Amino acid sequence: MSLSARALIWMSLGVIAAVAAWGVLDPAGMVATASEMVTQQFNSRAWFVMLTVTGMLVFCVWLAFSRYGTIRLGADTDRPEFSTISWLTMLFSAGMGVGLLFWASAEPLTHFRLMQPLLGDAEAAYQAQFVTNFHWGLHAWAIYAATALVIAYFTFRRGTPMLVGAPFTAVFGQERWAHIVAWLANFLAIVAIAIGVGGSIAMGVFQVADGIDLLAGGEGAGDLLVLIVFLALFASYIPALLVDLGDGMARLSNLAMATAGFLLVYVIVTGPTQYMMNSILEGVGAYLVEFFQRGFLTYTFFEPATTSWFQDWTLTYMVWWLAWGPFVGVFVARISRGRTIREFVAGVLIGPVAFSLVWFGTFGGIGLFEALRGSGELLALTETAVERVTFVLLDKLPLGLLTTLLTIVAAFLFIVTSVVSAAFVLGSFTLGGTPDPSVRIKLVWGVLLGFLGYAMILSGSIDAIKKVIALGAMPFVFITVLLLVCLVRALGQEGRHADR
Amino acid sequence: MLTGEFLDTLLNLSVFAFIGFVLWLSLRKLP
Repeated sequence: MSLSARALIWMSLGVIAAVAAWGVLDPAGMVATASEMVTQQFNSRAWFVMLTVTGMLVFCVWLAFSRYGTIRLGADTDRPEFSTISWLTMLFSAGMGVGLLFWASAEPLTHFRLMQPLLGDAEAAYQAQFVTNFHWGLHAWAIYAATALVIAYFTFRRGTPMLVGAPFTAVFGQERWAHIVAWLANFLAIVAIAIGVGGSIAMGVFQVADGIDLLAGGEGAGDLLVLIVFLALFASYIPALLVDLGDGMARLSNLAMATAGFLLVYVIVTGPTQYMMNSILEGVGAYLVEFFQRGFLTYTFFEPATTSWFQDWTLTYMVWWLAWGPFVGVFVARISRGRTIREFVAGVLIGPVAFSLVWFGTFGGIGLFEALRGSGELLALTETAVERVTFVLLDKLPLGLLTTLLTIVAAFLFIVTSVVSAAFVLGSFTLGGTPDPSVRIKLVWGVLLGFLGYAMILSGSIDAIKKVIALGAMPFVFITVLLLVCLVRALGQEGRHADR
Repeated sequence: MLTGEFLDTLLNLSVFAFIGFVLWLSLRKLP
């Protein structure tokens, strides 16, 4: 093994272990530092983050319609392995997972609570729906699509190892800097993935613990319950790393996704159906008209409270999707072999975004119904216990006990499957892109992710977790842009060969 | 005073340098 390969293993394990140790020993200190650094980054570079993200969306659309659109992600004779429907389902569960259950009503309601005093009921509801759709919409999926496209193209068409840094050496291989940037890209991808998954573990644990607490009639999950849920999670995913489960993990994640789909239909049927249908339609209309312009908005001329809201939500989400990019990208690439670039972009952009619009239209709609025509209990919860919103909402519909249990199980499955696949991807990245990382490296990553998740749990709040994730992901913004340059140059080379 | 913050300027200058690097990578002739 070369020196740089060994350096990659030890540096990445070392940095993540150090972050985890810092978070366990001094959670408040870690959050304060992360928070200060993120604010500085966001203040200075907001324009660049939004420009990058919007640029990625434009890039994807341009690529699909360009003459490169017919190029296959694979050899010209390759054909897709999965049917389009099962491909779309897998895409969606990989990209959104547990956040979907968590933020379903909680996000639109949080925005509504903050905006209502300024804008009044109707306008605040409209904006709350729009902003939520914006966060989970085309921009998010363009980030995934672009990252996955680069990985799939280079792995399946150029035969490089499945590594984030591989495109640099494939395109600019003769030059010394390319090797340095490739190494950095691999390193930063590993850091961003690990911290992102750690945060996701913490968020999932908070939600599952709170659901259990609610079923037991409690007023909020205590530290002990959170710890028990965390240990149960740890005990569930560690054995899964020891054996080769084949497509068992994919089945579990499809099961979690099916549960989410069932909840969606159940809420539409048992809740105020016409209200939610109207809400979906209005959400879609607002989104289609405004999404492009909002991709350029940085809220510069608003009062500081609005600017900081923009940083806490929009910028944090965008950086978060960028951080998940390589992780989701590897998975999405793997299931997309044999599709053309045009097919790929259309599928990844349209399918999941359509589902998001329906999902948030429904859960946002019923949440706003409760806020505007009900007791307002959900709205108050967004301030005191945001992880409780989904459960309290379900409790207000028939068979609340059953649907709450289902949500807890689905959330648990979403986290287990994402930790297992994260350990796999991180193991593969640290060992030079091998498609079959050893049990030992997967275990090391599994344990480290557990520690990191625990450190984030100790930080105590979702807001704190979001800061740490944003900080871990920020450097990766630059890598993503460079990856797109590699793709364009490689496609250009292909065009020249074809013209000859 | 309209003078900006030093760190802010520095962070943005590094972004400009990065954009320059991206343009150079995109436009120059490859062997």
